[in-house]
Amino acid sequence: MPKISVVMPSYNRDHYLADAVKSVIDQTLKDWDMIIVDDGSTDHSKELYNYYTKLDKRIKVIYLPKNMGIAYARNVGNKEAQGEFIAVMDSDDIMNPDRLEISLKKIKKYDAVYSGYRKVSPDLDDIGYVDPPELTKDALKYDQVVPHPTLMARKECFIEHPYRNELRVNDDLALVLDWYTAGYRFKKIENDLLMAYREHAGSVSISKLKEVQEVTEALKKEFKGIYEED
Amino acid sequence: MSNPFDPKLKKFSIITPIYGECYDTLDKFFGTLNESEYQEFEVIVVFDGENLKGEKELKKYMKKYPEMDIKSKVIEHGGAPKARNEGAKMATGDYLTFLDPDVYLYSDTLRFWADKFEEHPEKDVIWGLYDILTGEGKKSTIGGSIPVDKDGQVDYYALKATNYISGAFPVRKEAFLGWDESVKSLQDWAMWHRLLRPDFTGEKFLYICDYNPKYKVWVGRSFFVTEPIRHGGISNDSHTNWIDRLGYVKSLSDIPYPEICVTSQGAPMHALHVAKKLEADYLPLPQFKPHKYKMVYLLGFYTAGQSLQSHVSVFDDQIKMRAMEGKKVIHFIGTDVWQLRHSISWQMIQDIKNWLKMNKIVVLSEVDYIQKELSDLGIKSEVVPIPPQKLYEPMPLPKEFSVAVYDNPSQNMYNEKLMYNIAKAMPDIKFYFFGNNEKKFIDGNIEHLGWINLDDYMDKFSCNLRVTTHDGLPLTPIQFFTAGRHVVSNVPLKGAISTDEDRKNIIHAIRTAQTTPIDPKVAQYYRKELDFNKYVKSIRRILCQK
Repeated sequence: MPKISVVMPSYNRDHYLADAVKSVIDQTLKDWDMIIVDDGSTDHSKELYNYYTKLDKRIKVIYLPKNMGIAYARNVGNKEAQGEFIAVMDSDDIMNPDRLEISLKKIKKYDAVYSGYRKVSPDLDDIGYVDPPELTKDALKYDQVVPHPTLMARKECFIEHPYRNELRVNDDLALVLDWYTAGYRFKKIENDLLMAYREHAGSVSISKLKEVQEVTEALKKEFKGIYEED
Repeated sequence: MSNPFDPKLKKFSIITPIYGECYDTLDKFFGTLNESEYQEFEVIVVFDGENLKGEKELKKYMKKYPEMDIKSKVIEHGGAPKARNEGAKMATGDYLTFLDPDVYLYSDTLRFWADKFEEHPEKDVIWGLYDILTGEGKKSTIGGSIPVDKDGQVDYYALKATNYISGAFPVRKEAFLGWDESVKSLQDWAMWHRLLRPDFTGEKFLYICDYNPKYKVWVGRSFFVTEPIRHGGISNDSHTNWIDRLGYVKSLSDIPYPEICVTSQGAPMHALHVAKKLEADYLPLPQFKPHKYKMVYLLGFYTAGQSLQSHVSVFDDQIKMRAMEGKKVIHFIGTDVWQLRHSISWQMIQDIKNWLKMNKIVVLSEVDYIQKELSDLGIKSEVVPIPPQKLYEPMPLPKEFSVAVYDNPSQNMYNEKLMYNIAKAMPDIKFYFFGNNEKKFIDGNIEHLGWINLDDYMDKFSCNLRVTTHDGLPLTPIQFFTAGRHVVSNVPLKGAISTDEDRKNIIHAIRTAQTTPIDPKVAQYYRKELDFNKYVKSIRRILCQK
């Protein structure tokens, strides 16, 4: 059984997939498996899946019969995961070669770890970075805090408090709020930007801004305890 | 390699004609010979007419360099070609080199030539560049204006129109055919013609050329330095009787004076090739001596930086030379229109437009979308596509689908980085990058081939990917089409799988190419449209237009 399972949903990302998968294959830590959940892609992603599953036996693909949304796809992958830990991965992001190694070293007595990340252009030019704070209630009030692409956590966390299937955006924020409320222990990995996050026209954060706002408002209401205390 | 301990070292005969008081440079002349690393030579000085002072002067050097084998002869005045022929008769060496007394060899030159003759027994003539003194100890290199192809090879057809080879370059004695004593000017040109006739393949000529990675060009090394041309001397090519003098040398080789002269700055090899097809002269820029061409045909109108001036002067000089009756044609090729739009001001474009109109310059474009770009600038043009040097026959596709990308870092127009990222995004497909001479390595699914001859690789390529900032009628994709391959491009080429510059769309276009069968009609279309006979007919029609 592998130490870490990398779970990556993907929908019509044949133009970025290769960089993402390659960055997993190139990890310094070798004890992992990867579960790609194809969320009903209609592009040429399959050619790449075939290429990579042939190239590396640690990679496995689950095909969803139709597009079910990212939260659903993540949950399907997480259920299949064999690892003690699950590392979050998106199909347009890139792991630093030592992401898994460092995350594993730091997680020890915690339930979940995260780090800062680099922002890159579609062609991987550096355009900046994000250095998040430690997760505290105060910090959560103003910020999502946990850069989701950098998240790695014990498998049980994902099983006991899975992503909310009905959410097409902000599923990641809801997860953090749920976990925080459940009392999971988070740890920020200092002094490392373990992921490269691609900013492009297809990034959820740009194209679905309105939906994001609505869901955020709803979550704020739901988690009054965090957002409205004092 | 010549062995300094080999008693059978090959010998040079240095033949030096001296006329009148042209011996004031002998001190330097013999000085440089004395410093030559290769000492297996004789010097044969031929006085072209009685020259007591000269002979006295020569004796000084015979005394100063007693080790040097110096012979001399006085002949009745008959001109330099006769003097050189007389010297050649006396020669006991293996190689002849005709050095006028104001030509100074570099110290390693003779050894270099001897080595090259040994290495290339099939060659009779070795040549390259030389320097000319420009005063105050400065020198400039000349002889480099001959077009050289991607392998550093010269097409000797260029020698039909003008000379590129100094008469001082060495020739094997047994191959030497003498100087034509009837030629008063352009004597070296006439001498080399004897060795190039009748077909001008130049297979006995070896041009010394090296790839210079710094400037990314093929250039020769310099072999000697000469004094500046003396004013008033006949070799100072004045314009007087130029057409007759040139015509005389051409007539000796039965070369007609053609109706068309092709010239180019940006695409000399292409222009030379086109000239051959048109049975025209090719002359490099800048020009011009007086001429009687009925058409001067400028291939490429590159307006960036200094180039505009030299291009415009092609015709302005003609106008000054009162050779205005000739047709003036400019063919916009490649990225010319893009350059015109982007690298010079709007006002400058207006000036160029007026200049084209005033001088009745015929403007040609290569393809309909360039015609439209020109028309948007207010320039009317006729579409005449220029075929690539080689079209392919349809050939079987490789078993595994592969993509070939032209990679030219010097122009910054080929989206090198994007192409590389796309190749990385498609690891199940083999990508070949070619054209960049500095890159030869394999990186995963990407193989960098460097410069290649497409002939050697076409059977390995399934598809050409070309996403450029701007293009005219690009030749490489057409070669791919005719070989029965797909082309994925943002250039609106007929038959291409079209894309824009977006990563996702390019990748999808490549996937389409991977799964779409080849339509044989595309290859047929390009073979028909880009036929050289058709091209030659179009140009001749323009020549005959009133």
